[in-house]
This record gives sequence, structure tokens and C-alpha cells, in this order.
Amino acid sequence: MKARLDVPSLVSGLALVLVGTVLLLDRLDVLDLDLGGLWPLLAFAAGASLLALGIDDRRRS
Amino acid sequence: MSTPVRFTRPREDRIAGGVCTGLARELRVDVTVVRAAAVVLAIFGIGLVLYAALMLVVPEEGQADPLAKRALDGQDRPLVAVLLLVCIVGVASFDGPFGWLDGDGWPIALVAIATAAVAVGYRRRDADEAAAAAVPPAAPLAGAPNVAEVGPEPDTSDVRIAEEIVGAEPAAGEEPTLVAHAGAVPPRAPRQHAGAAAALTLGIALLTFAIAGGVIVLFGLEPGWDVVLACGVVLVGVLLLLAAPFGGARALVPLGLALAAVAGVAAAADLELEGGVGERTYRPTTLAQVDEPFELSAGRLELDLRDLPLAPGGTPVEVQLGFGELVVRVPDDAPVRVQARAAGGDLNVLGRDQNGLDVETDVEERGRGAATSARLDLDAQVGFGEITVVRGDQSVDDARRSAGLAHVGAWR
Repeated sequence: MKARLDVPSLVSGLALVLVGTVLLLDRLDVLDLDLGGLWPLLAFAAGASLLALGIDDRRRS
Repeated sequence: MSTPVRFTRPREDRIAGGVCTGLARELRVDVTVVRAAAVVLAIFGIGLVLYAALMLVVPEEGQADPLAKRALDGQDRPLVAVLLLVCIVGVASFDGPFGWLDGDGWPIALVAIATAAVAVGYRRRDADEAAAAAVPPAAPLAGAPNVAEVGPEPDTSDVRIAEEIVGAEPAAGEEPTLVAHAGAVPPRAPRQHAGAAAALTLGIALLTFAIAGGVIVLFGLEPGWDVVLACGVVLVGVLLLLAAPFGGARALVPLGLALAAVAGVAAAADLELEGGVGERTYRPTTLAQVDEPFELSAGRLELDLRDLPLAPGGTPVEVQLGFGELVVRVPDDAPVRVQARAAGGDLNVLGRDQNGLDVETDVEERGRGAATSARLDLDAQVGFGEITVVRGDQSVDDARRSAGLAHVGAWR
């Protein structure tokens, strides 16, 4: 069976790499994040992943 | 008299070995509650050992004997060996008479768990393939050569899936044979290899963590758990990207988001989760005792500095709490400077009250005694919780009450 590109995995992967990189930069003191600055980033990652999962499930059904 | 229900590990609705699903059915509670409890226990290590032990002694649904007994009969020996290794390494990592690994055995345990996940992945793949091969090909209707039109038009996606299962690709030059639909749509096939891919990817993720952990332990590195968490988020993201062209690994998405949330909150709050959990009271009496910061991950920390001799030019004292309540008593007569901050919570410092998110305060006060250069410089930090700094033997409740009234007065 031929595997096909799983878009939700792709979108979630990109979002997590972005979030993880920002967190690492914060730990390395390149950035200085506080709670007010971080929650939009986390919300973006969760939202993008859920959106991709929802759209893909809808397309499959 | 009703027959007692046998405690087994169901094959359906499971994520790993089916222990949580079996326990939830046995206890008649939502499986999510059991899984949440298992995750909490796993954080403390005991959960992994319990899970592996239950996998060994609780039989799988449809099987008469548990894995431990099957191993004695020559079956499933690799899986049983891995589970036993998890148990032994887990027990050896705890404090106590068998704690010869002194807390450094977790990379070995991770390797064992990763191996188990990979083994489960391959077993699931084989089971998927066996199930797909066992589906009998659908027969055309008798007397209707190559074309049968009964019942409603089927959903095309189901036809595609049915073709995938049956292998109904027509040969070159042959008329395509339509499958009869007598009012019933063929059952939707499960997503092939989804569980296997998830288990394999999880296994690779754990192996990577284990190798990184082994390097940290062997070379005595101290990268900080916050850096490890951030690296974990990147790693899960990279694994998802790598898995995407091969059908994906959606099971890693919740894991990655949970890691990102924990790492994000920790980074934003500048949490230093060191010093354990519980209630601690410190009363330093020498300067050497305040050289290192006082730390607690979660709970209540009380630091009494009334008996601390202060050095001329300033005596720095640092105290950090992840989650909970921090109370600091400073000398009644000495000059004090307090810098306090919290990612979320309440600061009540020498009668000044602040609360909310990302709060911080910097308070400097002269003491009641004679003028002196011997000042106490207190740096207090809480991730989420409350900081109360009081003079002498003032009651903490009184300090909070008066600070609250001052707060109300300021608004008036």
C-alpha cells in the first residue's frame, strides 16, 4: 500500500519545531519570554495542529 | 450469583499494552482518568514499573495465560525480557536497599521501553497485515456477469478502501467487476498500520531521548531540565516531519503539544524545579548556609532569616519555588532590599501587595535599628503561587490582611 503525505503530521511538526526553537532561544538568553508573550505561540501551535487534523478528517469522511 | 469478570488487557481502545483500558473496565471508570493517573505515576517512575509488572501478570483478552506464563512455555520471550528489564531497572533506580543505580538508571529504562514500543509496533503491523489478508474477496452477484446494480450508490471513498483491502484492481483488458451493494455499504477499513507507525515512532523518540540521557549521565553534563524539555519539543517536531511522507505519526501530536505547554510555562515563569516536593523550613545561622539558593519544586517553603548574621556591604540570599507558598521572615531591625517576582500569583512583600501574571516588586526598607551597611538582599522567585515577606515575628495572616486593606485603600 502506498503511503501518502500526512498533512496534520507535517503541520504539527513544523509548529512544534518552531515552538521548540523559540523555547531553546529563550533558555540560551537570546530571547526573553514572559507568559504574556508566550501564550500566543502555544495557542498557534495547538490551533494549527487541531485545524489540520480537523480538515484532514473532514476530507477523509 | 453473577460470574466475576476476568481482569484482562483488552485488544480494543488501547494505546500500549491495554493495562489502563483493562483497569478502567474493571474499576468502571473512564479510561482517561486511569491514563491520567498512570502518567502522573510514570513521572515518579513507579508508574512504569507497575505498568510493566501488570503487563506481565494480566493476560491479554482472548488468551488464557499471562505473558509471564507464556514465556515459560516458550512464547513472547523477547517482550517478557524487556518488561522484566523495565521492572529491574526501575526498582534499582529508586532509593532503598535495591537502589544501586542511584537514580541514573532512567536511560536504560527508556531503552527498554523503546524496545518494547518497537516490538509492539512490529506485532501490530503483522496483525494488521494478517487481518487484511483474512478479509474474503467480495463475490459478484450470480447471474449478473460483471455488473450488478443493487441498492444505493456507495460512498466512493468506501469503494476505494474496499478495493485496497480486496485488491480489486482489474487486469488489463478485463471488464471491471463491480461489487454488489445489497443496501449495505462495505465496512470502512481501519487506518492500516496507524498503530504500528505510532508505536515505531514512539520507540524511535524514546531511543533518541535515551541516547541523549545516556550521554548526559555518562559525561556528567548538567544541561538543565528546561533545555531537555525544549530539545524534546524540537525532537518530536522533527520526528513528525520525518514521519509525514510515510503516513504520519499522529500519536506524537498530543505528546508534542503537552511537552510544548510544560516547557513553555516553565520558560515563561523561569521555573527552577529543584529541591523536591513538600514542606520545608530553613533557619540559617551562618553566612555559609546561604551561599547556595534555597529551592523547592512544589509545596510550602518557609525561610527564617532572623538569626542570620549580616555581612557589611550586603548579604545576598536567593530562594526559588516552582509552585506553592513561600514565606520569608527577615530581621526586625536590619535594612532589607527584597526583589520578588512570580509568573502568576500574589506578592505580599513587607506590606505591599501585588497580584496577577508576570508580577514583580522591588522593595527597600531601613530597619528599626541603628544605621548600618549590613543589609539583607533577598531575591525571591515563585513560578505560580504566593510570596509573603514579613518582619520579625509578625503573623503571616496579619501581614496579608493589612496588605489587602492597603490594597483596597489604594483603590479608594
